[in-house]
Amino acid sequence: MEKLNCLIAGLPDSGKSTYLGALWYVTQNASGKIELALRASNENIPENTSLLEGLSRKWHNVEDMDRTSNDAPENISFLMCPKCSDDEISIEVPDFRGESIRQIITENQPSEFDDWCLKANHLLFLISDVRAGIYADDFEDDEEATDAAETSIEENQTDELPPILELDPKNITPAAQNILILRYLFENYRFKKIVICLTAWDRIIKENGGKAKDPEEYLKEKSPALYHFISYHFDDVKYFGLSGQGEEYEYEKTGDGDNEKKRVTEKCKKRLQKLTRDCQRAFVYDGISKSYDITLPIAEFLKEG
Amino acid sequence: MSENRIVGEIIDSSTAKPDNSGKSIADYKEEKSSERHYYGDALNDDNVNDVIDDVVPHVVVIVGFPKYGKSTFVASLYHAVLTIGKIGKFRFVDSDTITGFERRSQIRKLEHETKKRIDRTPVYADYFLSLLFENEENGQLIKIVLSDRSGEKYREYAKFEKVIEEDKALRYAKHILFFLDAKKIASDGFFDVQTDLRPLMIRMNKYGAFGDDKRIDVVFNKIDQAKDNPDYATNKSEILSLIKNVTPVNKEFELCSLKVTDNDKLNQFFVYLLDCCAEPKHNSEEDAAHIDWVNTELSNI
Repeated sequence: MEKLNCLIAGLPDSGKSTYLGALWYVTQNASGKIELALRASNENIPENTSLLEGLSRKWHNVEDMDRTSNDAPENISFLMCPKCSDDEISIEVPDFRGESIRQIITENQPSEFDDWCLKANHLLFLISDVRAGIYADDFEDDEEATDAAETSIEENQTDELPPILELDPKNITPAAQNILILRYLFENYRFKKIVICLTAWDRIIKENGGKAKDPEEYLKEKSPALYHFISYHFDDVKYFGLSGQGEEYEYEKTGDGDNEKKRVTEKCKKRLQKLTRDCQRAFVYDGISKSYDITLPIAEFLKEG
Repeated sequence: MSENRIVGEIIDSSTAKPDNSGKSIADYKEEKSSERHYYGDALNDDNVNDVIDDVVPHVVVIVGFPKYGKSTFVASLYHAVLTIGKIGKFRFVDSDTITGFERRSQIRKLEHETKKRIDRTPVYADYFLSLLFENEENGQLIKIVLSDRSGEKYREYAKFEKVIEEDKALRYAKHILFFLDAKKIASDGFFDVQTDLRPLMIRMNKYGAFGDDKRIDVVFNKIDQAKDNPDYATNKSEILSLIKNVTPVNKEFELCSLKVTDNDKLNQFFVYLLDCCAEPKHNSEEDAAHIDWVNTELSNI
């Protein structure tokens, strides 16, 4: 059997760190609590587990993940196995904290990123923001206000050269950023199967009045161009809703002035830590049922296409 | 060194030139242009052939002078594609130039927020934008390629014969869209439109931009700011005569390309454009390879 190499990727803030922290904790502590489709390989434990343990610690302590890192890209790789088999799935997460993947847009991503992509034959892609664009004009309720804005632009014209727009990739519409990244990956690498995880799924359910929602239908409704793009390029794609945190954190302020900080409230922390202990905090939803087995999106790659 | 006149990601081109470089702003722009190329940016004559695949593209050249609303129109089309996911029965499935569309879209958005005009399609910027759609009814794939050049370019075309000859799309594309500013036509600016348009029409005709096999459409943009002006109808008629004296016109449209939501005329026009793409173009693929301008370009290299 060909070795499964799974690349976990997604834009910064797509929830990679939270998922990894939760995944590492759950696979180490689920025994006797919940059934998992995959287990961490005991035979081939990563040489250095400090990054995974660090993420896991932040997760079980209900702390925010570090959003940015100015250091060299930090990569994570580890092995997982189906529960009744010794077959291994290699999981690779290049620069899980950094901006490397967005550098695809500016065409200066580290070559290391492409090396990892080259090895992968399956893709788990995390998306947190599917917004399809906010066009200022469409948010003017008052037609006269739009005309006034246009007139103001005309009146402000001078003989000076107009300014030039320097496009910051961070400002590109979220749906378009995801299309660009996926397009690059599809164009340059071969993935047998892809799984799309729509993250912060607890928030989506909350916005939907607590009712379950099919992740595929959600993407189709909220970001049709991104959905059509994925469907056109991939026959074999599976969608999951994924909540790494379990629920949105509640914060309180501490300190004054420059020392003012925010931290997760004790009440929220206690509630989530109880769920953490029972391995009933992070969950996935595949459109049919909710499961605390967050290895399911990766286990999807073991299924025959 | 350069300084930002406006917050964020806008660079003031009048101050962007390095103090002691001895280079013109045009040179500086050329340098910045090459530095700023992103994945998914608009294409130019050198790399437009990259869009060639199994689908013969329908190339639409948008002709118009500065501030007539060409890039706003393109940004609105892109906005509709992203938020609705389809135009009529045509479902968006891919684009080679998402970043190119984003640049235009963000210029429009920032102008609205800052109330300042931003260099729309700087003369150095690339201009071919593509979108791939799938017909929901029969699965047919159609590709539209828009040529959205700087309005300044058309000013140059009107003045200099050599410059217009560099624009291969203008000659080979089967569809030309004249974008006109209805607000300007309805005002004293009408005379400027006449003065600018007449030599452009003559030069385009001489260059071979028109012909029996071409679809020439005229769009009167910003109609919401012109329709109530009593001079508009007469002035519009004169402008149309100016064009029709040189080439037959297929259709005329009056629309406002600023807003997408609840803008039936604009959305109908998008559908019309894609319907044009879906029309059978050639008898066979072999013919297509000889007739299509993109392939013609390819064979010229």
